[in-house]
Amino acid sequence: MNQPRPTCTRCLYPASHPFGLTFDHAGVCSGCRVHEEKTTLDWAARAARLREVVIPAIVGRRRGDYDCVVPVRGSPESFKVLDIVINELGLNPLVVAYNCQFHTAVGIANLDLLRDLFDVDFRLHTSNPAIYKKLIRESLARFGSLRWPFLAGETQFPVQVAADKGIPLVIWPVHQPTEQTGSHSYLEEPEMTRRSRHCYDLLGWEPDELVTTASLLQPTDIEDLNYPADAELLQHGIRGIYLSNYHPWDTRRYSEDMVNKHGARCARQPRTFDTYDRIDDATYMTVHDLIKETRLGYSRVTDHLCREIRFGRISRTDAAVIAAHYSAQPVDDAVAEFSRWLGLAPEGFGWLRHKLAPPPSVTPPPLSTTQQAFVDSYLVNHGLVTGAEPYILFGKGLSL
Amino acid sequence: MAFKRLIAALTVRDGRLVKSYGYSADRPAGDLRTALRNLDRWSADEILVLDISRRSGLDPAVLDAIGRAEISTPLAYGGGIRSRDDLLRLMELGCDRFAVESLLFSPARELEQLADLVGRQALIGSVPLRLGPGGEWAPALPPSSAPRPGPIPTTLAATLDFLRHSPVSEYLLIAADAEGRAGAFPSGLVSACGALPERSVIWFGGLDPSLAATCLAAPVTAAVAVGHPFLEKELALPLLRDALLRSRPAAPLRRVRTLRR
Repeated sequence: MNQPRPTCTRCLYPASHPFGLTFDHAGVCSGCRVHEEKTTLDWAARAARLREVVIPAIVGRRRGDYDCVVPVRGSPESFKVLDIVINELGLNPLVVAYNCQFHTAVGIANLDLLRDLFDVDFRLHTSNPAIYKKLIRESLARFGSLRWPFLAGETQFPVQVAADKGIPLVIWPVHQPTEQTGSHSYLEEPEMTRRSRHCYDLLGWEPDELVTTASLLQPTDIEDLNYPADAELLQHGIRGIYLSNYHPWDTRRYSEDMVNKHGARCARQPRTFDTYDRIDDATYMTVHDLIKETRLGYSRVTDHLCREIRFGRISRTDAAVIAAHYSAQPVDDAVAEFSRWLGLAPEGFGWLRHKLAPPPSVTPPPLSTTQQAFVDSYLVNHGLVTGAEPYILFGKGLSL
Repeated sequence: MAFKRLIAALTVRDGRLVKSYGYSADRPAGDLRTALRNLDRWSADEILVLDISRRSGLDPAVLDAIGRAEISTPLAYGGGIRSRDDLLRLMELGCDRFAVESLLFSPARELEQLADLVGRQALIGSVPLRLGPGGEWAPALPPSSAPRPGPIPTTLAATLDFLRHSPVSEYLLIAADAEGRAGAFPSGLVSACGALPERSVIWFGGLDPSLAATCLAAPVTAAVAVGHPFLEKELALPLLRDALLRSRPAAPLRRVRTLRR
C-alpha cells in the first residue's frame, strides 16, 4: 500500500511534484534536504573542483577555438553564467539561445546587453514559426503544455551545436530536479543526460511520438528537436555540466548582483513577485502558468517561494499567503493574445483548462505589510511584463 | 570465453524510482520506465529492479512501468516476491530472474517449490550485509512485512554456508552501508566470501570503476551491479564498460560495439 501523499513540512511543495519528492521522518522533502548543502559544503573547494572538471574537458583546444557552448535566456541569471564562464574560468564560449518566439521587450534588451557586455559570439536558433505553432497546438492538446516545444528545442540546440562544431563542453546554470526536488547531492555532480531531458523536460515523450497521422506533423517538422545520437556525443566526448554543482546557486542573489553590476534588466510579472525569472517569455508567467497551476495544482510562484523559504528569506506561513495571492491573479489579456496568436477561439483556452482539471475560482487574498515588503524587496528597472503585448520574434522590429 | 556481467541496478520505493542511500534515506530519481529504456539502450548485460519498500507483494505501479518499458535486456526483479503467483506475474511482464530475500530464509519448502517452477538458474538469493561493532560481517535483514519463521544466520560464515545450500544460482551480496556512496564498497568483503562457488556472487553497493575492476577479477564474482552513477552521467554504463575492458587485467566483460540511438 502506497503511503499518503503529504506536503513538505518546511517548504510548500506537494508530494505530487512532477519531478518526484521523497520525505524523511520529519516530513521534510528531499529538495529541502539537498538545499541544506548550500550552507554546509565548502563552496570554495567546490569552485576549485569546477576548474578540475573543466580543464581536462577542454585540453587540446587551440587558440581561438570555442571552449564551450553556453545556452542563455534573456534573464539576469544568464549574465551570472557568463560572468563565471568568462571572468572566473577564462573560457571562450559560443553563446547560444533557442528562440522561444514569445520574446518580451525586456528579454530582448537583456540578450542585446549580454552580447555587447561580454563581447561573445552569439547564435540564436529560430525554428520555422509555422511549424513551431503546429508543435505547440499538438503539445497543448496531447500533454497540456505549451512549453514542450521550447524545452525540446532549448535542450537540443546547444548540444547539437556542440556536436556539429566538436565543442566538448556545454555549461548550464542549474539542474532543475536537483534544485527543486533534490534528485542529487551536489557532490554527485549530475550532468546533462538524455534520460534527464526525456524524463523531466519532455514529460516522458520523445519528439517522434508527436508524428502521427492525427497530428498532421511530418518527421521533418521535428528535426530541430531530435537530440544528437550517442555516437556523436562519444565522438567529441561531449559533456554538459551544471554550475550549481560548484557554486551555491541562488537565482535571486545572483540576479540582483547582475542587475547591480551589469545593469541586467528586471521586470514585474502578474503572477509572481519574482522580477528576474522567465521575464524574457511573455507566455511563461501568464498562459503557461495558468496551465501549470491547473495541471499540477500549484504555479511558478510556489517554485519561487520554496526557494525563498529554503534560503530563510520568508516564513512558510507568509509564503503560503503570497502563493495564494499570486496564484489567483487573472491574466485574461494574455490569454486573449495567446489565443489570437494560436488561432484559438477565446473559449477554446477555457475548454482546454477544464479538460486538464476544473480551475478553481479564487479571490486573491490581500498581503500583510510584511508580505508586501518582501514582494517590494525585488528590484525593478523595466516595465511590467503582461503577456498581452504582441510577441517579439526576432527583436529587431520584424514580426511575422 | 564466459563473460562476467555488468548489471545496472534500479531501486524503487512506494512505486517510484529512487536513489537509495544505505536503505535509510532516498532521493527521487525520475521515471522508472525512462530509466529502464535508457539502460536498455546502453546495452546493460542485465537490469536489476529492486523494490526496497518492504511491502508484502508486488507493487502495481512498478509492474506497470516495467510492462510499458518494453525492453530487451535480461531483467531481474527483487522485492515483495512471496508466492508462485508473484513469479508468474513477473514472468508475464518479461522478467527473467528473481531476487528473493525473505523467502530465502523461510524454513518451509516455498523456495524449493519456486525453484521447481522456474529453475534454480532463475533465482538469486539476496542478502544485505553490514559490519558489526566487532568488525565481523553479518546479514542485516531489515524488518519485513512477511513472517520469517526460520532462524536467520547471524555470522558471515553461517550465512555463506546457508547460501550454498539454498536452491538459488547466484547470490546478490549487498554492502548495505556503502549503498549509494560510490567508492565506499568494502573490498575486504570479496575475500571474506571466497568460500562461495566460482562465479556465483553479484556485488552491489558503493562500487566505483576501480572497485568494480577489483571485484570482477575475483573468481567468486559473477557480476557487479551499479546503481547511482548510471543515473547521474551521460553514457555512464558504456563508458564504465569501456574503462573496465581497458583495465589491466582486462575485465572479462562482453564487448558492445555500437550504441543504439
